[in-house]
Amino acid sequence: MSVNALFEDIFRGRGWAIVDADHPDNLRGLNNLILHSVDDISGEKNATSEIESLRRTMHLLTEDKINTIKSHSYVEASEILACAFPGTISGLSGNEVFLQRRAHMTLNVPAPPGGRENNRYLPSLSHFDSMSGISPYTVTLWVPIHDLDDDTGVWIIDQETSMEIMNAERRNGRVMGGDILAMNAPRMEKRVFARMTYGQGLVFSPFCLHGSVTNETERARICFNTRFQSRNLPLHLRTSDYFSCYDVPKAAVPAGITS
Amino acid sequence: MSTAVISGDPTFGPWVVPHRLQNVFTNAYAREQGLTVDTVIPEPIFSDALLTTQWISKHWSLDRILLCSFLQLPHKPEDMERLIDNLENVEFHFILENLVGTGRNFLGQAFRNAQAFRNTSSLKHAEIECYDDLYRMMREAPLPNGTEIRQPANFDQSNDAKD
Repeated sequence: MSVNALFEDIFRGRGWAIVDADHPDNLRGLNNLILHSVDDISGEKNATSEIESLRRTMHLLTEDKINTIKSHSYVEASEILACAFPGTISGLSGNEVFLQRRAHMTLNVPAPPGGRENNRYLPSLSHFDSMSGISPYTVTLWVPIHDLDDDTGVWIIDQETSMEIMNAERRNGRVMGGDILAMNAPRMEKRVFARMTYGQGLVFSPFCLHGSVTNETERARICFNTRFQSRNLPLHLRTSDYFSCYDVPKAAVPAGITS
Repeated sequence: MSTAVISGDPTFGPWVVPHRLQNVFTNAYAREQGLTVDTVIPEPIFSDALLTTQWISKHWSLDRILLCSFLQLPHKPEDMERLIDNLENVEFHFILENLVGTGRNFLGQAFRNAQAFRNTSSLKHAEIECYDDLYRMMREAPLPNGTEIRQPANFDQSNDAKD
């Protein structure tokens, strides 16, 4: 996909696209962060040294351990993502950007044997990122650290349809009423599930409704996501508390991307 | 080890944070980090030079300073230079940014970052009433290299239909 086509897709078109990492080897850093967090938690070298085996055994971890993995501070993750996808960032927002200070790591863990003790592991409820106070020029980069060949990842609705759904709520004097959260609102059925191979990511505008569904498979889904925007465009309510300055190294941007 | 929390001008960055709330933030952070707060330094409004803090440090030897944000650092380079000269050995904690560090490089980097945020405009005061207003702004986002973009064929089909 050319830079202009990607820009049109995100800012003028459906609002989302699946992109290839320019430097997929960098993504191994994310895998290592997760594996090290498991090592730290167990206090010993974890036998599950590969992500796939970790995915298959994660539901056997105690809830406390899973919570610890989730609340771990993955300080390096945002920059690792930026180093893997410099062309995407540069093409959408230029080389001088505000980059989310700390990437989010999200898990979608299958139920343990015998079922869940509680409902703490809810899937991500439907929302769009503009609701958090990021500016309309902020783009999300959502990257699984493994192949994503099932529906445990993220579903997404194109931004025009998303806005129609939100505006219908607004006409009823609501923002995010129960119909959207319960996926009963008209046109919510237009969601599509993003499927990717390792080394790809989903980029989307802050106006695409998205979320996830309960993981009914036997493998956990693990992803990192970060956000970025041009430093030449206004911020909204999230500023230095959320972003830090990041310059995309020109040498890292693939040839042909000139912005 | 003497630790001070600073409550400064309530207006910094896009926020207005009253003194009392700044104290709530900094004290809660101190408790979470296991730090004992020795003093609260009230800096005057209409000033970002942190001169009171520097005077106290000179006479009382501060080791650690807690600030809500690096956006409370001086705006003028010369004021920042003076602060670095006087406080380069003090450990700074910027709570909203979750940054901790000491020294000229750390403070210089914090200052440059703060300037980048200050130099970026904000939509805070734009006449935004709903997500649709934000959405329209996004649809008009310029290409990062500043060139105009050709509108895709399916853009704003409602207008095409009227023609």
